[in-house]
Amino acid sequence: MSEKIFNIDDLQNINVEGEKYIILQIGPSHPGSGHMRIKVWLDGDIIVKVDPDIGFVHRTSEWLSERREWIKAVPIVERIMLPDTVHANLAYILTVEKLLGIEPPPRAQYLRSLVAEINRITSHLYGIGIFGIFLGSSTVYMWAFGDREPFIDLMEMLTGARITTSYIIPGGVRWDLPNGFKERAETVLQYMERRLKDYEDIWVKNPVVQARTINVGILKKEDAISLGVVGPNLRASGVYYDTRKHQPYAAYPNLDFEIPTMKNGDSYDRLLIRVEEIKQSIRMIRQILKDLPEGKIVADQIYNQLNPVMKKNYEEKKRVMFPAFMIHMRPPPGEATAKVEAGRGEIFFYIKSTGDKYPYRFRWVTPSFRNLPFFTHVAVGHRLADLPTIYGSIDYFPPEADR
Amino acid sequence: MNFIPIPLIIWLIEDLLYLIIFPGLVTILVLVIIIIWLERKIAAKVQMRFGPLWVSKKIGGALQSLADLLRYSFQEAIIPEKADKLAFILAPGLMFAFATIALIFIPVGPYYSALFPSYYTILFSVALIIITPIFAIIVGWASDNKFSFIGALREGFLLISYEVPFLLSVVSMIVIFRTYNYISAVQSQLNFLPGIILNPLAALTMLIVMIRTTGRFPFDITEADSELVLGLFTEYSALFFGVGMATPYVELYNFSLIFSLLFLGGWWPLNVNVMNPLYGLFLPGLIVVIKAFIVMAILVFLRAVYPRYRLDQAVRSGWSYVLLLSVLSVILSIVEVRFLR
Amino acid sequence: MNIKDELLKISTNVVIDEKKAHYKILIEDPAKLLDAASTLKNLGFDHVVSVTGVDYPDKVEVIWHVSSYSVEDLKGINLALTFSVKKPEPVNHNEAQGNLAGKRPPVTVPSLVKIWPSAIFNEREAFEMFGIIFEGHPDLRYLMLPEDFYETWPMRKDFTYQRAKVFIE
Repeated sequence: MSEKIFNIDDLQNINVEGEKYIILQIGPSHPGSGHMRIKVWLDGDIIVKVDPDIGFVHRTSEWLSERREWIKAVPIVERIMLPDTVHANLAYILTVEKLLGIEPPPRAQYLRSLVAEINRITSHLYGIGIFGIFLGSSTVYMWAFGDREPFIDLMEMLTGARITTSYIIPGGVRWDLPNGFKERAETVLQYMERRLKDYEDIWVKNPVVQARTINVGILKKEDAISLGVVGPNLRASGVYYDTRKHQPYAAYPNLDFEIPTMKNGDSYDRLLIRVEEIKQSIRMIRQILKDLPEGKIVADQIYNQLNPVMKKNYEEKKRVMFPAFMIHMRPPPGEATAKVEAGRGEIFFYIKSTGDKYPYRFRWVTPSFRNLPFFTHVAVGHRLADLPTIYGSIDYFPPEADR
Repeated sequence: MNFIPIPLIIWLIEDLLYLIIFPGLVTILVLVIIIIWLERKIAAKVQMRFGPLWVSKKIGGALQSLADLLRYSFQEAIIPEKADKLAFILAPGLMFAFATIALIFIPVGPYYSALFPSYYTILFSVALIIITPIFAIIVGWASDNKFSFIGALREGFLLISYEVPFLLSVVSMIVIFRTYNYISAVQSQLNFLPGIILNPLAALTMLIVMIRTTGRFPFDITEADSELVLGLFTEYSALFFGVGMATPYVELYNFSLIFSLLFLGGWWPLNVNVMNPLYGLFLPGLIVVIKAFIVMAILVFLRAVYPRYRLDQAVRSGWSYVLLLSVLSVILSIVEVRFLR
Repeated sequence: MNIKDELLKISTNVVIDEKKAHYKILIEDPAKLLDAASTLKNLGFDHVVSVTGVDYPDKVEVIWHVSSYSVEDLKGINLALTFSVKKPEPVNHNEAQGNLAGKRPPVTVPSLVKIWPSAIFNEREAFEMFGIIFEGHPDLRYLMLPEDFYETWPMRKDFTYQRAKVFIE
């Protein structure tokens, strides 16, 4: 096990010449690789060098968004970050609202936080499931993906779509809470709390899982900061940083929640922290549903642009249809940035507008892209069987890393 | 024709019956089909889903494995160009053959076996059952693939680490029963206590070795899905693959027979003293096979509970904990024989 | 600490817009870039969030967005360290070879990987998308694009692609 992290100079000095090293291409069509190729140089069973070869699902979202209208970037961005669509949607819309200068009303802020927390739970369950199947436990995989269904049904009850909801628009949100949502949400939350006990027995306290993950893939605090990793991986290494507390957005300034951090920074801590974050999200959803303020769900600037048919739809069905100006939006010239804490980490947007109908520069960085140094720096010195452990524990999602 | 060698004919018929029908090939095939289906159904029940249900809906999809076997028979067998063709083609079949062949020396009834009563059946059957993993290494070497090669290396490491504890646990039971012979061992158990109470350490060691040799979770290391594509059998297709996937279950069956004869009392509660076609021949065998099936079902259930261990953890525990357990079991049996008889 | 004063010590060209969360510091002299980066790192900005290029008709701007994980006051700031460099003149290549690379040559920029190791993958992406060669990067090669996109710099505004012509009988 390597105790130190390779620094940048060591990367050039790893000598992998000679017949001593096996080059293993854990390639795109491999059960344990996802949509990427991991090139591994092995000395017996010890990993000497890792080269992640990404780009197999590069869908050129930035190039496309710079040649489409502003509102059309929402589906593009959502479909790239698939388990976490609401956060991608939210991050983009926060940036556009900063450029436009629109503030959504309080009820819309709370609704945004509600769907964001529901999505965080489904994203963490996805990560737990993938980690389980990489270690070989198909039970956790099936349970985690099955337990996502009640939450996805909640989203369908609210927005009509299961995963790619496109729920958040500049100025507010698109649908209001239907009748019976609060009772249904409480049932689902109680179900999840019962299930978390089962997960403790079979996943957290399983001796094989503990043997495979304790002291594997240790990332110390200073290295986590200098390598720039994000999300629960950062907090598992001991860094107290969460965008919801330090660059707050939506309803988070008014909510009462904790940021769990762990001490060791090994894979077991990364496993524990996701379970803890699910508990915090459950707590937040209960607070939101209790404290939801009354009022409109879109800002006045948008509401005044709705024509009478749309206003009737709003009164009766609590649904916002797009006014015409939103299709041909031209935000005033300027540059804006926004950060949002998704399930896997922090999404960053930087958009530059020149007053045209297309963005001039559309730049976004997803959390999995920033977690890439785990492969090159942390996996070295471990055994081959630790590569799926590290891969599963950082919850790396190739389509969002490639954008 | 002066005299018809009646004992020889009876022995021949009994031999054929034993090796081909019960508990030989036909039983093995039927049990393998049932146990594969049972494994998938048990895992599905734990995992909140249905399992195989499409093929024969009325009986809960029980013919799924038969459908899979048919599919493997009709697939195209692809042999890589750079593979070692003789080894590639022969090795899975030889693996299956040697996994089955240990059955010759295992009697499932006091008067029902494949050979004349022999005094050394325990030794012979254990020796034959240990040979099978060597062919697994040949399988991994024959296909020209790095993943199979790494799988073969892993199988080699694990084979060596868990061989000694297995033999020591068998030795401890030989010491207790004072015989090299299954029938006498079961007779001692019927007079006294089943082997699992006499020497639980040996039973535990043998269970662990069974899980390792047949590749059940948590020792699924040679076919680690997420690290090596399918371990040894990556490049195999068609019936070679089917045979390769069925072999661990055949090994499991043989191991379970040995386990139920040595530890679970064999054909207890039947105490057979008279040779009667129903009682003496088939019923003890049926009881032993049912006990073996129950052991198989329990081991197969572990798929739903545990992930897999890492190679060095398994090897290290084989040389430290399991070896210690087996040595302690030998000491325990020596102590028992000395002081309790 | 007052972030505006600290930034003004490094360079005079500073834009701060708190409502849009836009903090920008512009540097045009390559010799000053490494010093500015070291000063920012000592102030407390300890990781790079993104490295992006912005393509204008006459120049290319490289922006390192940096932020802080350890200093409390700076945790909410996304500082854009902007470095602008003029595009070089197109090199006269043989037109018959159809070599586009000469018409759109790459720009050279000092790499900040030695100061901030978190920029290592981001700079590779900026290299392949915009044609920015980072001097001093230990492993500068293509990250996501395949071989037939070598030297096409897709994210520049003058990127064109030929549609495949398909004849249907």
